Amino acid sequence: MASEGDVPTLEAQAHAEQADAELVRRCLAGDQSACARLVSRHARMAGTVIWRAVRNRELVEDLCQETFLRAFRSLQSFDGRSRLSTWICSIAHRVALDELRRQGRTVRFVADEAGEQQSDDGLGLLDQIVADEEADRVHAAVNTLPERYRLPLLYAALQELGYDDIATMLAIPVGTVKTLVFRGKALLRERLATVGGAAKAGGGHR
Amino acid sequence: MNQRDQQEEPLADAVLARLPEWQPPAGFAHRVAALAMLEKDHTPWAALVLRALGLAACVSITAWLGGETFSAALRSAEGQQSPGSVSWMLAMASLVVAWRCVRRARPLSRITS
Repeated sequence: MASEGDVPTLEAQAHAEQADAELVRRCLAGDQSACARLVSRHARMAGTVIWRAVRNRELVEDLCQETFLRAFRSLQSFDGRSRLSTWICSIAHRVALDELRRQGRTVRFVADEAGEQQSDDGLGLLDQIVADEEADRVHAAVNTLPERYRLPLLYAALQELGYDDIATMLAIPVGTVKTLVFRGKALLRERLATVGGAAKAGGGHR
Repeated sequence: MNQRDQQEEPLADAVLARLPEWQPPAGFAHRVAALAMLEKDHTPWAALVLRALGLAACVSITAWLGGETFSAALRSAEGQQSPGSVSWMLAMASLVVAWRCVRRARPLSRITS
């Protein structure tokens, strides 16, 4: 989860920012390979932000492409006050919100295939089944959270995003992000208890 | 926080931390870069001109509405309230109310506690 201690070391961060600044300069000069390098550096993060917001993997590629096209269109206005990754994630977040609005937020109820891709941690088959059931239960509970708690909670789960990055992305104070994540976790606990109780009640009738 | 909650929290944190990340498909970066370059080479002048015209129209209408409202407010302050000035003020008030309603109808535009 995001915290001040989880961010990469200051030296690595400074190096990354320097590399980004150089890429921005080259992109503005019309260097296509620099643009490709910039996309490949930040696409995974931008795509993940979009995926977590819209919950539909099919849409991510198109929306991620739209994110970078928007970023390149306004690259001249990037003033370096925030990190380039944060700036791109902010655009990705706005692109995702536009898509959610366009769909009238019906995408909220689309099942997430997230739980199907986590089988590489060496657990035994039975343990894996139990772990998958638990993960499904958490996913189901997360998906019932209101958007204002769900998104900060999911963004905070990304190691590369600190609370200050999320605050910039959502255009709200850092304190509010912390409050939303805290309340989101509290609400998630309640929902987990509900989902767990319902699952057990359902299991008893089998 | 009861014992069950204490068990749920690390589980939730662990599951959230293990959520999969999106991986761009092969060639994605080059395709997007090529599109960006294509877009840069073909500046959509027609769209830009249309946008500028739309913006100019909005600014003109707003200035005209503002001027009319200001003069109506002045007239009403001087005691020369005419039906026209009242309707202008009503029109402006309904514009403000409509704007507030539109903003409220889009709760995702701001995420606040």
